Amino acid sequence: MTLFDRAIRAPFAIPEDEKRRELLDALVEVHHLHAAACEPYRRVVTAHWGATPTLATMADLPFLPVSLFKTETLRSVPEAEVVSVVRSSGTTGDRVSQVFLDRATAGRQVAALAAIMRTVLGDRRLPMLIVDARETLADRRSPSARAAGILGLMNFGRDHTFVLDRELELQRDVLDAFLARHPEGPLLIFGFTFLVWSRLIGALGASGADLSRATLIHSGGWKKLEAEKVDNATFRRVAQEVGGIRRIHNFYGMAEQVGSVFLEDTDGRLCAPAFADVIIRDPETLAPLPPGQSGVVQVLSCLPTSYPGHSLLTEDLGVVHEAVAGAEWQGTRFSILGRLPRTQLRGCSDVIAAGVERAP
Amino acid sequence: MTPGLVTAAEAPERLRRLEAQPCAPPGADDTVAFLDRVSQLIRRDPALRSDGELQSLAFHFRRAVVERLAAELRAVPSPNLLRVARGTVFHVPPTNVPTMMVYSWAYAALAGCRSVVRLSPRALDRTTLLLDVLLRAGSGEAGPLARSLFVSYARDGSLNDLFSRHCDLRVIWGGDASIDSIRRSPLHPLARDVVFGDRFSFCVLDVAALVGATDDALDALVARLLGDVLAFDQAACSSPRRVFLLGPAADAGPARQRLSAALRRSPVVQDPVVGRSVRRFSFTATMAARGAVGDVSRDDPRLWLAAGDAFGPDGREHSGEGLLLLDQVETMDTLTRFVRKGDQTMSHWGVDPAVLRDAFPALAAAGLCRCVPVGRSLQFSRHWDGYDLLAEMTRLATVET
Repeated sequence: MTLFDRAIRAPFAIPEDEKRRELLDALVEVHHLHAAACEPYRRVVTAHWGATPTLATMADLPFLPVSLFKTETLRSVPEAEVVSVVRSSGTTGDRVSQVFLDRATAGRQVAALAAIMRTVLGDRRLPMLIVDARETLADRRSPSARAAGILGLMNFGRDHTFVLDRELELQRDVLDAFLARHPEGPLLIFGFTFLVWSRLIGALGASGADLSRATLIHSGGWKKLEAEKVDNATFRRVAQEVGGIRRIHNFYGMAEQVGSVFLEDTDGRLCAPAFADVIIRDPETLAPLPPGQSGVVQVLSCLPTSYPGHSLLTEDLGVVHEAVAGAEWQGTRFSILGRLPRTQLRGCSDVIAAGVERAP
Repeated sequence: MTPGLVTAAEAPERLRRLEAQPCAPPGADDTVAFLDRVSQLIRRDPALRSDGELQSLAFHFRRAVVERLAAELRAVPSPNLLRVARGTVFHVPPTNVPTMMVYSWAYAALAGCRSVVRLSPRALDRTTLLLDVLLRAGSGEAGPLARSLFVSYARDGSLNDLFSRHCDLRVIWGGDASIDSIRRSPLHPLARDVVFGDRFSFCVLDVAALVGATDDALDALVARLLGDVLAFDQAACSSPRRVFLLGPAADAGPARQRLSAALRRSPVVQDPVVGRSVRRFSFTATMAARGAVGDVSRDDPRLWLAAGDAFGPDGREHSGEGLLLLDQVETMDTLTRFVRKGDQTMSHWGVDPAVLRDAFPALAAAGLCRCVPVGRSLQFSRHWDGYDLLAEMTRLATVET
């Protein structure tokens, strides 16, 4: 049985040292696959790591910057084998990343996500509330990352109910009707972090709602909530106060590394599943850092074979935590601390030209 | 409100009053004295000692230089020619580097002009510091400060329109996008633009000199090169972004090795800039994917080196923040084929002066503006981007009796 097969059965149960060795082997294999099949990947590796780098540890593995997917076509299978192209959400004004999936990689993505979600949701599909608008799913052939996230999670639910209207306002009647249809048993709520906070929790009003039977899964990052000074602890506290929600699992992932889903366990820390891992690197030297030191997050996953997304340097800052003896879940524990700031513009070149206001 | 700084609301009235002020004669003694006081103030203030930008400014406007410029302004080629101030100058410095405005403002002041300077609220701390220096130097009731208006505003088309319509010369420190934007405000029909737009600068190092130099000589070179590269996070128009290794291809490898070794020895310290290595890597990876860059050395966070094809479509792409792209050329003739309009500074080390002088006409014709020794890339000069700032700030009147 391959690491992947075992990981699918129990993503957080494989002992660390065993996982590390097998994952490294799997990643080296995937690296060679992409070096042979994807010319741009081979060029990046050769330019930065030489033609035949030694790959003795996970930290030796070459990595690509996530931004590369915005400008270059990175594909390791013929175009005819591509079944889906995922686009990243990106920030305003940025180009979008393009990620090419063949049937095999797409299949692994679905299986991986299912395996991880089963650990917190159980085996049966749960009645599912989606904190978004139905209109978000408009483009099926080329879904945005937000749509892809929703579609992926919909596999774990039934009676999928979109609780926001096209203006992203809470439809209270829709929520109440959903709760009336399912008066007993566990529920699933899914949405993007900023929408869950502002359009569900923030919109429930003084009387709140009884969502205590729900498991809330949310993702998308804390950046938009930084301005309001809302962190994970605040989010959890208010979700419980206003909605009675106790089972909350944030997850961290990115469109550029499909299937890599890092789920928050019960102690509020993100955990790497058996087929993925996280390395923190010094922002200046890009050298690997030990647990406890914060730096730039690199994510690794042996899942992507149709495109070279198995080892990526993100633009996020994070820190790996020391392993805790006797922890329920096996896997690297880490936290995301924020984004790297964008360039400070200096020098004579000045790009602030757009948007000059004129009196009418 | 910062002393000396005028708000957008006050600006139209203050402009009216400014225009009632006569210009001064070019090269006036009290202006020379004022600029000298500014220079001395900067050099003597312990709080400003480590401010590279200001110290460069102070050095540029040191007494001997200013006196020479003033003398030149006062002299005319013949008794039938009279040089007078151009009039009102509207200065638009780069948003994040307000120090640049002092250069064009000082030349305008020396020429006797009135000035309106737009300053962005985003760089308020820096602006306050600069104005404080000028005010402390003090220019009296009839001095250059009395003929100047420093206005703080962000994006205000109507103020840009007003100042553009009322000036005789508009000085825009770029880049190209800013120039296009400001040019949406029409000038008075008799007025002109002086523009400092997007420019590209590079460095040429002689391969034989690199291979044959002593370690001490290379250490000195690296110190100067790092000074040129690290200032302004390598984002200034004069910051060298490419290095041409001049000489036989076979010696390029050993030359790069000696340069790298000297870089490793260099004690130059630089404060880290958050995220720059991730951004540099993003750039080198993109270029490598396209086949434009290879052989990237990332060991030294101060300066990354990479081999980069200068003559390909991505030859002028760059990330800034401490990256030099190296290419090899056999002769100056080959290098001349790289140069085009929009290039600015070529810094050099180890190249035979005769070879440089011979090549310079062709380099200049191709588009190059200036050629300086490594270490002086960022030193401002009155001859900048093809302009003679003294001539720009004045006009000539003729008389025949």
